[in-house]
Amino acid sequence: MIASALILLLPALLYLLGALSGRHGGWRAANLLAVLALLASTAAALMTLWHPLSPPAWLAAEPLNLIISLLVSLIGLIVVRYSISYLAGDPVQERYRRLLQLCLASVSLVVISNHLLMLVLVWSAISISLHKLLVSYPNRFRAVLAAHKKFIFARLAESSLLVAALLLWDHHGTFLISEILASYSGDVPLVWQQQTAAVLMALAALIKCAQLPVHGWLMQVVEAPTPVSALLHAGIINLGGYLMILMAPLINASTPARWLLLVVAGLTAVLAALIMTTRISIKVRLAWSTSAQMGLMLVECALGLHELALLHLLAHSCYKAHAFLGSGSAVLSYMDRQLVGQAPERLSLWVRNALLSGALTLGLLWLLPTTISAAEWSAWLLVAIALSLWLPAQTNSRALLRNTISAAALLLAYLGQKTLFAGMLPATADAGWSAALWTMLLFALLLAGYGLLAMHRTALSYRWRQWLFAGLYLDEWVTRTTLKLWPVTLPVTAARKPGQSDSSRRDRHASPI
Amino acid sequence: MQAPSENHDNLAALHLACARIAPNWPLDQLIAVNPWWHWRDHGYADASARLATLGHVHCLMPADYYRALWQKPVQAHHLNEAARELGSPLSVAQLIDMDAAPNGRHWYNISDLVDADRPASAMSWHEEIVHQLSQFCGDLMQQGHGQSLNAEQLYGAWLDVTRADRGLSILMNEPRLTELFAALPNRIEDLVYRAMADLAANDGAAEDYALALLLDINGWAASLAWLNWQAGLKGDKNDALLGLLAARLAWDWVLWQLYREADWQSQWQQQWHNLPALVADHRQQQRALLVWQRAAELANQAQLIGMLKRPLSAQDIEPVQLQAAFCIDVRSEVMRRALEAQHPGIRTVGFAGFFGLPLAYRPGDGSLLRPQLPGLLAPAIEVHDADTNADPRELSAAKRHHWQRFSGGAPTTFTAVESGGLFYLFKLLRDSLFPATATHPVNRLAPSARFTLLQQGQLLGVEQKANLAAGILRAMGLSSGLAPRVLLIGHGSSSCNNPHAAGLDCGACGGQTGEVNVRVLAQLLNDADVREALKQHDIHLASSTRFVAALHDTTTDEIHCFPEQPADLDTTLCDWLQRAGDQARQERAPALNVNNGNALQQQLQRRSRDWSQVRPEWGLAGNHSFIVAPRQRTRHLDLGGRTFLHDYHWQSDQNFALLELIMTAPMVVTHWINMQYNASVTDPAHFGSGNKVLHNVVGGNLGVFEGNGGDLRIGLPLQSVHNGEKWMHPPLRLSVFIAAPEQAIMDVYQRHEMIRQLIDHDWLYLFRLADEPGSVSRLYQQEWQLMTEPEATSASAA
Repeated sequence: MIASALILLLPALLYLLGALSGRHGGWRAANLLAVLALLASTAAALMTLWHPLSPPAWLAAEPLNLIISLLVSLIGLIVVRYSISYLAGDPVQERYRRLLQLCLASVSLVVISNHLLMLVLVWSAISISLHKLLVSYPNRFRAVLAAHKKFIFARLAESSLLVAALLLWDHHGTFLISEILASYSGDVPLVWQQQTAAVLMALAALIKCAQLPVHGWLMQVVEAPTPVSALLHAGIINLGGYLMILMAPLINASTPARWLLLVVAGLTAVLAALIMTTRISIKVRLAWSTSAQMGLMLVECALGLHELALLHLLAHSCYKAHAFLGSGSAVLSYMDRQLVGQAPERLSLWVRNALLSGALTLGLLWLLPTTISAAEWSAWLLVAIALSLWLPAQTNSRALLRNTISAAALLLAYLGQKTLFAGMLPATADAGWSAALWTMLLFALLLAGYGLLAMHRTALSYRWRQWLFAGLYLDEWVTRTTLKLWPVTLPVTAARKPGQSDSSRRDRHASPI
Repeated sequence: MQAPSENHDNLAALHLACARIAPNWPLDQLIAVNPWWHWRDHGYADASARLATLGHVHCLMPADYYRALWQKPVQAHHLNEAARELGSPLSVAQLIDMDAAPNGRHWYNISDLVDADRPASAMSWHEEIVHQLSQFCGDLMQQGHGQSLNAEQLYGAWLDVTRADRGLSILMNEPRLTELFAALPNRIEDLVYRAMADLAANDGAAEDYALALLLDINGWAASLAWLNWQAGLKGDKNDALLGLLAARLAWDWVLWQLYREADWQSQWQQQWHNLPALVADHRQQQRALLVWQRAAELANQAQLIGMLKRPLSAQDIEPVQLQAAFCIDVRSEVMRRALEAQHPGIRTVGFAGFFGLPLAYRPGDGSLLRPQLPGLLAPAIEVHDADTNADPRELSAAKRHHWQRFSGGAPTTFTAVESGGLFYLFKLLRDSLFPATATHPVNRLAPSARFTLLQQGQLLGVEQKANLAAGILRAMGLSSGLAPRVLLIGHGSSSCNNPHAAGLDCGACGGQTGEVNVRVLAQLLNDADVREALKQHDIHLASSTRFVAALHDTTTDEIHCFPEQPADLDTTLCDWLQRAGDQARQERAPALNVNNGNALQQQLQRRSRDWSQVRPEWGLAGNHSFIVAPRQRTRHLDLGGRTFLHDYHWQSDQNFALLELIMTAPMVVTHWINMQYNASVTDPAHFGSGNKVLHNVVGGNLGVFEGNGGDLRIGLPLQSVHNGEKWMHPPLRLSVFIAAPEQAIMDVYQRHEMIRQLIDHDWLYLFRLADEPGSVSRLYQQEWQLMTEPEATSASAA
C-alpha cells in the first residue's frame, strides 16, 4: 500500500521539491525533476497492466487517473524544458519557475485524489498558482483585468464544488469518490442533495472550462508567457472534463445536470468555434478554439460518450500544447497560404462532397458489428460534416481521389481511437434521443453559421460576422458587472495620467524584460 | 466657429501629421526602418523634444545609463567637446550630477484627461480606444482590404463597425456613446470641421494634436504608412492612414462631448496655448542627456578614427586565389576577417546583399511574389523557377495548408482533434527533444534550381542580361583581375518559431535570405552567352573563372555553397570555409553565452533549431559605423562585427555616379538599421516590439501584439537587443566614413536634400578618409573639418 501510494504521489512530490528548492537548483534541477516525474507516472501506468496498484483509500489508481497523470507529467516536462531558454534572462524567471512547479505539483495531485475535500483543496491550489503566473508582469493592464475576472470565477467554481462535496457527504456519509459512485448502479431516483451536487459539479466544470458567458478570462490570459498558456490549455482547463468523466455515474443520473451541460456547453461549442474564425491574432484564436473544444468535450460527457470525451481531452491537450508552443511559426503558415493561393469554392461541389462523406461514414458504420446508440449517431454526424469539408471543393479528380482516401484514413483513425478508449472506461448509460437530437440540431446550426460566414459580400453575412467578431458582447457585460461588483485597481499605462511623474521610465530601463 | 479656409488648414495639418509616420514592413518581409525617418527635416534634438512632449517618446537613454558610461568610455574631454558642439553651458560636474528622471509636463489627449478623472477601477478610455482601433485595423488588414481602401472608405468602415458595436457602451457603462457615434459626420472633411471647431484652441497646434493622436496608435499608423510607401514605389498614393487618424479624432471628440461639463476643459484650452513652452521645457530637460549621447558617440568615433589612422599592411603580393563578395551587413565583417585569415591569396569584397539585382521572386507558379531588394526600391525584374512542374514546395505547402484549414475551421476543428490530435504527441516530443531544422515554405530551393528572368512580362535577352551583369561587376569592382573562383555570398539566418525571423535575414534582400539573388547572379555570370556579350562592355571573363553562389548562415556561421557544377568546388575551398566558420563561431560564442568548447558548431545548430530559443543570434546589434572604402583600408583591423563595409574605389568611379548611389541607397539603408536598433533601445515601449514571451502574431504577417491586444507592436523585440543583464546595442548614431575626394562627397551632399538633412540635423555623422591614412575629416556645418590629433591618442588608450 505504501509503495503504491508513493509511486502515485511521486510526480507531485518531485514537483513540490522543485518548487521549494532555492535558486541554486534552478532550471537544471527542474528539468531533471520533470523527467523523473514522467518516469514515475509511466512506471505507475505500466505496473497496473501487470498488477493493479493498491493505494490508500484517499488515492485513486483507475486507468482514468493513470492516463491523465501520464499526460500531466508529459506536458509538464515539455513546458519546463521549453521555459528554460524561453525565459532566460527574464527578471521574473525564478518566481515563474517556482510557481510553474507548484502548479504542476497540484495538477498531479488532483488527478489521483479519491477524496472530495482533497480534490477541492488541491484544485484551489492550482488556481491560485495559475493566478500568480498570470500576473507575472503586474504592470500589464489587461493581464490584471483578466486575472481578476478569473480569480472571481475560479472561487465561484471551487465554492460550487465544495458545497457539492458537503452535500454528497451529508447523504452518503463519506468523502471518498469511489464509495460515493458505487451507490449509483441502479435506476434509483436522486434525492435533492444528489441532484444539487450534480448540478453544482456541472456548473463548476462549465466555469473551469471557460464556457460562455464566463469565457472572457481564457482569451485574455494570453497576457501570460506562452508556456503558461500551453500548460493552461493543455492541462489545467481539462480538469472540468476530467471531473465530469470521473463523476459520470452521478452526472448521468441527474437530468438537470445533463441538460445544463448540453445547453451551455453545446451553445459554447457552436458559437466559440464560429467566433474563433473571426479572430485576428493567433493566440486569441487558439483560446477561442479551446473554449469550443471544451464545450464539445462536456457535451460528449453529457451524452454519455465518455470514451470520446477522454479521447478529446488527451488529443486536444497534445494539439493545443503544440499549437501554443509553436505559435511563433504563424508567419510560416501565412506563407503556405500565400504559396497555395485560394481557389473559389462552389456550393454544388460541397453537396457532392457531403453525399460522398455521408456514404463513407455510413459504409463504415454498416460494417461495424455493434449497434449504434442515439448519442453515437450525433457524434458520427459531426464527423461526416467535417469530412464533407475535408474533401476538396474542386473538380480535379485526382485531388478528389487523394482526399477521399485520406478521409477514409481519418475515419479509421477516429474509430480506432474511440474503440481503444472505450475499453479503458466503465460503460455508462446513453443519454437517449432527446439529447442526441438537440446535439444534432447544434451541429446543423454550426454548419449553417459557417455557411453564412462563407457567403461573402452579402449584407446578412456581414452582420453575422460583425456579431461574431464582437464575441456577441458577452464579455463586455461580464467585465462591467465584475468591475461593478468587485472593483480592482488597474495599472495605468506608462505615465499616461496627467500630473503623474514619468516614473515608468526608470523601471523600464532598470528591468527591461 | 471657424471659417472654411481654417478647416482647410486643419485638414492639411492632419495630412502633415500622417506624413510624419514612417512605414512598418509586415513580418514576412521585415526590414529595419528608422521610425523617425520623416522627422529628418528636424534636428535630432528638436525631434526628440517634440516627440517626448506629444507622445512620451524617448529618443535618448535615461540619465542612469549615461552616467554608467563615465570613464569607460566617456572621458571629461568628450563631455567638454560635446557640450561645446551643442552649445551647452553645462560643465562636466553638472553633467555627472544631472537629474535622474526629468519630470516634464506632457501633452495630453482628451482620453488621457478623462481617464485622470475616472476611478482606478474603471476601464481606461485610452486602453479601450487603442484596443478598439487596433482590433478594427487588424480585421481590416487581415481580410486584405487595406490596399484597396482610401481614407474616406476606411473611416466609413470604422463608423459602420463602431455604430453597430453595442459592446463599447456596455463595457464603458456609457449609454450615450451610441447616439454620439450615430451623430458623427460621415465624411472626414465634415468631421474635421466640426471636431476641430470644438477642440482646437489655436490653429498653430493642430498638427501637433494630430500627431499626438497618431502616436497613441503608432503601430497601426506605421502599418498603414507602409501601404502608402508601397503605393509610392509604384508612383501611386494611399491615404488610408488619414482615415485612421480621423477615427482617432472622432473618439476624442466623442469623449469631449460626453464629458462637456468636466473641469479639465480649461486645462485642455491652456494646453494648446502652452504647447511651445512645453516643447521648450523638454528641450531644456534633455540638454544634459543630449550632451552625454554626443559624448558617447565622440568616444566611439575617436576610437574608430584611431584605428583607421593606423598604417596599412603591406600591399598584397600574393596572387589572388579566391574572391568572395559579401553583403555589407555587420555580421559579414567577422566572417570576412575569418576567411581572409585562412590564406593571403583570399580577397573579400563588401556590397549590398541583393548584389544590385532589383528582383522579385515568384516561387513555383503560385500567386506569391516576393520582393528581394531594399525597401527603398521597386523591383524591376521578376525571377521564376525554370522548372515549375510539380514544385515539391507547393505540394507540401498545399498539404500543410489543407490540414491547417481543417483543424482551424469551425465545423471541422473538433474532428481534426479527435482523429489527428494524438499525432501531436509525437510532434511535441520531436520538437522538444529532437528538433529538426525548421522548414521554410519558400526558401527550400532545389540544389539544381535554375531561374528565368522577366522584365514586364518579357524574357530578358542576352543583351539585357549582359548590361545588368556589366553594371554589377563594375560596381563591385570585379570587372577585371578575377580569381579562378569568385564566391557570391548572400546571407540568411536560421531561427525557429520566431515571428521576427525575417528581421535577421538580409535587409538588402527585403528581409529574405540572399539565396535567390546570389544564385541568379551566379547563373547570369557563368552563362557563356552573357560572357560573350560582356566583351562588348570591355569585360573579359576567363573561361576558367567560375562564380559560385553561397549563403552565409549568420546564426551558425556556416557557409553553404550552391555550385552549378561539382567541379566548381574543391576541398581546399571547402576547408577554408569550414575553418573560417570555426573562427567566426569562436568569436561570437561568448556573446551568445554558449560554451566556447568542443562541438561549438553542433551547439549553434541545435540552438538554431530550438523552438524555445528567443535569442538565436544577435543580428545587427551593436552596429555603429559604415565604411565605404577599399578593403585594404580595413583589412588589418578587427572591427568587432559592428561595422558595415562597402568596397569603393573612387579612382575607377566615373563621374562619381557610384558614390552618389552609395550615399543615397546603402548609406540610407544602414542609417535605417542603425536607427531601428537605437529606437528599440531608447524607447522599447513605443519603438520596440516588447517581450517575446508574450508575442502574439496578428493576421498571419501583419505584426505582433504583446499579449492579448493593444496596439500593433513595431520595432525589435526586447530579447533582440537585451541579454537579460545589459543592452547588447549601445545606441550610437551611425558614423559613415567614405574614402573619396572631399569635393565629390560635397557635390552629392549638396545635390540631395535628404542627405543634407541627415547630416546637418545630426541623424548621422559623415567623415572622409583621405587617400593617405592618417587624415580624417568631418563634414560638419557644410564644411570639412579636420579631425585633430588629441582624440586619436586618447582613443588608442581607450
